[in-house]
Amino acid sequence: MNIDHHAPTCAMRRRISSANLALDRLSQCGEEPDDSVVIISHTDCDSVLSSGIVSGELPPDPRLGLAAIAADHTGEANVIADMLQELDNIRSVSLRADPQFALEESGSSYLRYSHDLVQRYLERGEDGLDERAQNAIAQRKRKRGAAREAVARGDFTMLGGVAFATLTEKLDGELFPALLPDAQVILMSTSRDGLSRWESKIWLGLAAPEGSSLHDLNIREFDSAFGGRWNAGANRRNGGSSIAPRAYAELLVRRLRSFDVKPAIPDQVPLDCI
Amino acid sequence: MTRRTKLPITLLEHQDPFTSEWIEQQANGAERVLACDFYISGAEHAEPVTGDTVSVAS
Repeated sequence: MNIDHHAPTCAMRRRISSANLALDRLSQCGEEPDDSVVIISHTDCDSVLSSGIVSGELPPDPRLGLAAIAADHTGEANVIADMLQELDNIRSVSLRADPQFALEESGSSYLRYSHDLVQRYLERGEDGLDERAQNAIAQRKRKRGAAREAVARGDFTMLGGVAFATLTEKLDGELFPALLPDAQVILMSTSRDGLSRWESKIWLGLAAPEGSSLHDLNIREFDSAFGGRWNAGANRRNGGSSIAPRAYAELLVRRLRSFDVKPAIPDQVPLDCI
Repeated sequence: MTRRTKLPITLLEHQDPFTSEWIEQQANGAERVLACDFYISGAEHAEPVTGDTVSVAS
């Protein structure tokens, strides 16, 4: 059974995350059989929350659904989202750099820790959090401020519905749609190795017509390294691209007309209660 | 209310590529495997786990 909003289907072209699917499924289908196991492949906010809901480690609290939407889609301030997203960022960097940390932060220990944090927050608010979590929230606030400053400074150029920028600091893409409400597509580029290669993150903007998807743009036709879900993607995992930011933005602008042809989006995400 | 008996969670990071067969092996006799937010990193695009599993998104 796959409880996942990443699927490239029309039903997922909406602001929904796996935690919302987990909440809906629990509400409509009831608890999973005791003889079941839960697997996850990463430890961002939505994975931590959805696995916690399905396993019973976390209660089916609607605040968890709101946190997942904030983390995956809106980027708005949300303590649970900010805490889990930044803890995951810090953990990911540390795992790459420090083998000892990797041993200490095995999957089971990190999940126990993160589920415990969420439970403590639900019961006692921010006072229930430890220093590590408080620091993560502060770091996320700093990043949100940096994103706001980048937009205010004019780092982004608007080109025919595409807002693009060359950023010196990697900032989480979900922080930008709310800051660039007129953009249909947001392109954030960082230099990978000097000036010859670029890492590009792309987000669907709030001005894109309802039901649009980045998949409609067929970005892989000019950037074979690009991959992602309907509203966000990047080419970092596959080595980036040699296409400079403005040229990349121009290629995107030419494809925006694809947004005019959209498939019918079902009213609800289907839930198979079996 | 949270369930009385918690289900075990396994984190399968850094083990790409995932296949339906491989994931089913993780069930180890369990009645079902519940793949949550199972983004497949490094794939051309995120795909639902298919094969013999039933996808909420299908």
